[in-house]
Amino acid sequence: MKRLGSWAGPGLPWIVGPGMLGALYLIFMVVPTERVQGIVQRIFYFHVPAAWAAFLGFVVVSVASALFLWSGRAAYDRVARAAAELGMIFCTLVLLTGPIWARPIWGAWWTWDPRLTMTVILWTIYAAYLLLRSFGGADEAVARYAAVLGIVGALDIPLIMISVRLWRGMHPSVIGARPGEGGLADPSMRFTLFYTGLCFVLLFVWMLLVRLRVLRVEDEIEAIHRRIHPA
Amino acid sequence: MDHFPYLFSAYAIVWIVLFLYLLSLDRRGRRAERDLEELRKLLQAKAVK
Repeated sequence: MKRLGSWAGPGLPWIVGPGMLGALYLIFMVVPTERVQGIVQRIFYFHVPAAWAAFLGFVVVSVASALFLWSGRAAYDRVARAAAELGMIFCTLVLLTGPIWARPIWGAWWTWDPRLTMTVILWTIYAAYLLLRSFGGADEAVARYAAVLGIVGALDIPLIMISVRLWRGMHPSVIGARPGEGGLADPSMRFTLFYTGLCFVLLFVWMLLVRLRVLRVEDEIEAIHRRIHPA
Repeated sequence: MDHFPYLFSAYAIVWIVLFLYLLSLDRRGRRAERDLEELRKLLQAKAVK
């Protein structure tokens, strides 16, 4: 695991690691237990930041994909591929932790609530993106099709954000648009959520840098193979 | 505290998934670096011949 640190610059893992420990301290030792939901509400402090990291990943995919289509530079395509993989990891965490919270609160693991359904659609779009990248080969046309999919997929994110207010589903609005709205009444709850969110963003950046480094080496190997065995 | 297993499961899943992903990333990176090194040596050997 030594290289994971050195690959992304020396500082970031040393910020992310203690930062995460600090988040766990805040979640389990500082924030009060929510009156209605009880201790299971503490799942929010990882569920919501994981969703933010997933959205960040997919926004990075769409921006990098647009830049790739515009400039044709392989570096942007690499950023999109790396961010898509990470977005999927965090989106999977959202879809796993959500039902664990829902079972004791709603009495069901899953319901086809608009926000949940939209999140599954988002996950499916980027799963298709990654399948296309894995089995489509190194062809530039495949990279261009994937880039279009990467841009279109991100259009689902604003729908997920507004779905709670637009379609009045069961999913709670953790942070309200106006003061007093949302499920986090105590200021320490809001602070913990935003602090953990920042830690997840830094974790995302670190993992993205490591994944990019691996992708660069893999692309270099692919380029050498093409030089040795031209098509 | 009757919901503790749910809380524990959620946090355990997050850490396990992140740990396994980082582990796979580390392995992929090491393999790619090793393959690249071997290819470079192969190319150098071919160039000398």
